[in-house]
Amino acid sequence: MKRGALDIRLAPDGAALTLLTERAVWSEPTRALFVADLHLGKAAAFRAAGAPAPYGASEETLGRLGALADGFGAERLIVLGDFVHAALTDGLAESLRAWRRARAALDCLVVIGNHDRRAGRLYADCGFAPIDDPTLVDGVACRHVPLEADALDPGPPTLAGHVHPVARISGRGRDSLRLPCFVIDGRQIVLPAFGEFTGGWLVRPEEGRRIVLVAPDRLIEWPGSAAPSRA
Amino acid sequence: MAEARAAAVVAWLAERGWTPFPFQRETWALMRARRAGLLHATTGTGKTLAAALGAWLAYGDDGARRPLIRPADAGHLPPEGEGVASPAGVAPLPQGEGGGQRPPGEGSAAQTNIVATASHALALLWITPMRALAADTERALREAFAGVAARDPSGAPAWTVGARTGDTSAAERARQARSPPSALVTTPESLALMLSRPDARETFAGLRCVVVDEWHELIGNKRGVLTQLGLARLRGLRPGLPTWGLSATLGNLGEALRALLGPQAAGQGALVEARIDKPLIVDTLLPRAPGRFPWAGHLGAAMAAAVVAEIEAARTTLVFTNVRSQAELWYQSLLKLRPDWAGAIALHHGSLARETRDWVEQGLKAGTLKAVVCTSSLDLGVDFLPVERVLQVGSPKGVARLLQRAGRSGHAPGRVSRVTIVPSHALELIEAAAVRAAIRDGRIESRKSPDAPLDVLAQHCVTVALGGGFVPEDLLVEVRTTAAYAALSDEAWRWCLDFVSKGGPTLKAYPGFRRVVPGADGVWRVVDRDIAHRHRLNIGAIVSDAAVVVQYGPAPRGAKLGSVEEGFVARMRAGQRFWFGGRILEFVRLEAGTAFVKAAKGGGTTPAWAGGRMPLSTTLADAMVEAFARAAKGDYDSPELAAARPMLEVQAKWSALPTPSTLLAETLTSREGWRLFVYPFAGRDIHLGLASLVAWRAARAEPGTFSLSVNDYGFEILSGSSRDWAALLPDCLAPAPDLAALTAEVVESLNAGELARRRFRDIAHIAGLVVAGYPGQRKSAKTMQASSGLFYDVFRKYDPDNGLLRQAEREALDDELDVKRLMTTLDAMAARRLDLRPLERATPLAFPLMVERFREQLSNETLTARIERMLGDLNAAADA
Repeated sequence: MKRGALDIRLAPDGAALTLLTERAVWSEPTRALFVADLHLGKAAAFRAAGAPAPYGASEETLGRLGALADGFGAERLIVLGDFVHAALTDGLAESLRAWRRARAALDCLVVIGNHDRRAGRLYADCGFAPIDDPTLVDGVACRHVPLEADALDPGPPTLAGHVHPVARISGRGRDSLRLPCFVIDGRQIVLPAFGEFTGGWLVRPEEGRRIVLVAPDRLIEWPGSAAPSRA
Repeated sequence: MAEARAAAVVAWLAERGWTPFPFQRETWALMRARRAGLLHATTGTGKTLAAALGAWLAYGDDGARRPLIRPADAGHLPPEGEGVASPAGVAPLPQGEGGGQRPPGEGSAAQTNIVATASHALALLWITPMRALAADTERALREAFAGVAARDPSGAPAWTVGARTGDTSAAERARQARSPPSALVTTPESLALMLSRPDARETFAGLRCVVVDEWHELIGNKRGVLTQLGLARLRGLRPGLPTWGLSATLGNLGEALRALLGPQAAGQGALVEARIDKPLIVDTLLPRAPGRFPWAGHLGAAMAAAVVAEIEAARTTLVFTNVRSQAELWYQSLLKLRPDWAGAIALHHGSLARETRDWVEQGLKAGTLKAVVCTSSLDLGVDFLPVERVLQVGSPKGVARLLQRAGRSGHAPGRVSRVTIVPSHALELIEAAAVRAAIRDGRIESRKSPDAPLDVLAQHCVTVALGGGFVPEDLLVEVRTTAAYAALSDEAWRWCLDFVSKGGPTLKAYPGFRRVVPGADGVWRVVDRDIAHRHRLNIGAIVSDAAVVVQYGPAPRGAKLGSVEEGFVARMRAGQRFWFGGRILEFVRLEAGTAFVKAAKGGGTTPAWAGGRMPLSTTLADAMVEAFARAAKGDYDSPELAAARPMLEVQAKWSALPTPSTLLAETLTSREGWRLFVYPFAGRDIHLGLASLVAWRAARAEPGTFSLSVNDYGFEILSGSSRDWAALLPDCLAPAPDLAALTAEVVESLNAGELARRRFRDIAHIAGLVVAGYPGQRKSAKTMQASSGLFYDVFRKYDPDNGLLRQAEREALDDELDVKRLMTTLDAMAARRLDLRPLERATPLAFPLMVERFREQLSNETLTARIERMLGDLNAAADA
């Protein structure tokens, strides 16, 4: 396993899911890559509303996604909602088609999140198959909005997005940092936002909750849950 | 005619037992001569009447609502300039604002034909900085105009008065549009809003005079810049429009006048001093047992008991604190000592519900309250005659501020203004000694207008584009008539136009972006209705902290009590208790921006409101160094210094006293890390620059992460990794070779810190990058904060030359880190001998810095290195 990856088994007999520093989850047996909350086109939506957000964030995000899928040789990509931020602009639709053309063999599914509704049927035109929230894919429940704590048992392993989790780590000299994180509650993993131009929801530690912080070159189990992962 | 009116003014004043002050007569004469100017006074009354009655004397004819007769009846129009006495039995107009207005006319037959001349009625615009003051001002003006009209032999109708603020209902606004009042009381934000209306030109077509109240409150900030731009627009609509400012005394009145009238017109402006010889007493409440005075804690019961005794001795007392949480704590302490005062003492601060504050203000006016614990919320406004004493808890922060608060007492004729400083820790004893010396010497702070902030200008451009549109060349000329933008460069103007029309510089225009659109006729307008709506929601130059309403409930819903910061509520769990508005409340739950609470018993926490942390003025900081110097020589020349003596002796024993010829520094190693304390006594803004610079220089020697804290006396740098401060210090404090080199260093330190990023939050808001509330979409202010941080990051990454980023950097450099003063401070420090003392425990000077919660961070380490260290700390803690 490469440095900066952490295997998680959500059920004792289930297959491992691998958390990645790239803010994604990889399933080796099904060769599927999971990401959440890219919010592509957010800057364009701001511009249309009269707020001059700069260019570049969406292209960068899409570029990273492509590199990641290519690097793993993924056969399937599952976006756990909020793939785009607002209704697709022509420019973004064209970028998506180009991205798709370069990966014709890749199977692309998008859970329809709250932001995706505005993108409408255009997904299909661009070669991304919209699926309901939730949908069971190869035994994994793919959701946008995470399950509430009281709905966690029983059920299949679940991956979700929506909340853009971040957590805080601190040390001597009153140093502290906010880092994106994965949140593992029982059978559910909530993924950090994959997009550039996204905010965060500060996660608090709770009994039975595992928090895995995403540093540039490694994943760190939040103190108390387990020892930091080292390759 | 004019003389009769002047006689009416004197008669009305005489009926109330007043004779005009010389400064009032002077102002009236100047206003009747169509002059503009600034009326200033240290304390005292009469400025409002001077300006209001002056305007009436000069323009009374214009403001009075004249009948407009339908064309068929045009022959019945009364002679120009001559009012016609109203016949008895004529009812007032239904839209009338009250106050003795009667429709002139020739009898009941003409009545149905009387229509207000909407375009010519608004004669006087009265701008006040606080909307809470608008109602009081409205009342005062109405009373004055009704009083003088009743005694005006010409029988002209009285000036009507209205208010237009964020509190004004839509129905009232509609009424004002149909039938404008003669005088309108408003705020800088509401003025901008009126200027953003398509009918702005018509609204102000008959305007004859503008008065800006409490100009000293506005001049030094961006709201003042918004006001300057609004005034320039009004002068654009009404050339020659005279402006009058009312101000407390400042150290730089000439500059205040220049900012009010604009540099070109300031030469013709008059400076009138409202000289009222009113005795003023400034003293300090000294602890009964000076030797046991706490230097490291806060207040202590001893001071509360002394304050109770002072309150008891006076009829009505205002107890001023510096922050809201302090007011809450003091209110509790007083009630604890005197439970029988429940109902007789009250609490007043800006986060309490308007109804509560109104009730307190009524009680103050009526004299039914014994004492009110308050914050700057009662700094301004109408006078509370029963107030005899003012107590200032904690640092007075500035000479002018203390004088302003002192002026809230002793308003009845022949009474004395008295302010008593109540120190909350021993260092404030020295501040008290210093402020008394400064008042004795007549040293008062200056306030400077901000220099060409692009965010406010961008907002103004959109406002004017909405209010009928603009031709860029003309608007530039108009904008440059203001003091703030007199030196606006063509390049900055170009950028501003690009920003509002294309979202950025020409080379990198955003095609999807269209806030202001240049028309084929050369006029720039806003064409999108959503953008227009959003802009009007967002107008203003104050970015308030995210607030949550506190209300009894949820079922049944009860009274709204006020508001607390979102961050405070976010940390609350159901069942937790907290003090608010002087009561104990139990948190129930947060729902759609409302924190539901129920009444509770017992103790609780006190919410901390950020903001309102005012720096010690440099005038006062200088006076403080002098007081320290006297003490260091053993010259305890005032009761305050004598009381501080035990603390000063501890400081001398554990470390040393600061002196004019030495620069005191201290080091302390604790579990939290390696600490350095330095005491230049240069004021907190300079200390922030110095701390950033010293930390940056230390970081250059070896990468690191530092936590900085500053106060008005010095700064602290805390390093999480080992630092030999003694060895580093001489290099870290070395003067810079020149200003350019120092600026470069400070910019580098800025990029390693968070200062520019925080500055950017307000800039992004004012420039309209992020919006507090989108129409039809509840977007919490918290989301907005996160977004401005995100904006900062994406701009840094994808558009590093963006003008707003550069403004954030420039504001941090100029306002927070005054580089020129930093340079001279470094030189001055180099001339002093470094007196470095290793400490075993925190000294009286070090302690407040060590416990300071609001800290800056500076780092030039990689994320990975910082994470490594934090993990190391965690593992060490786990092994221990």
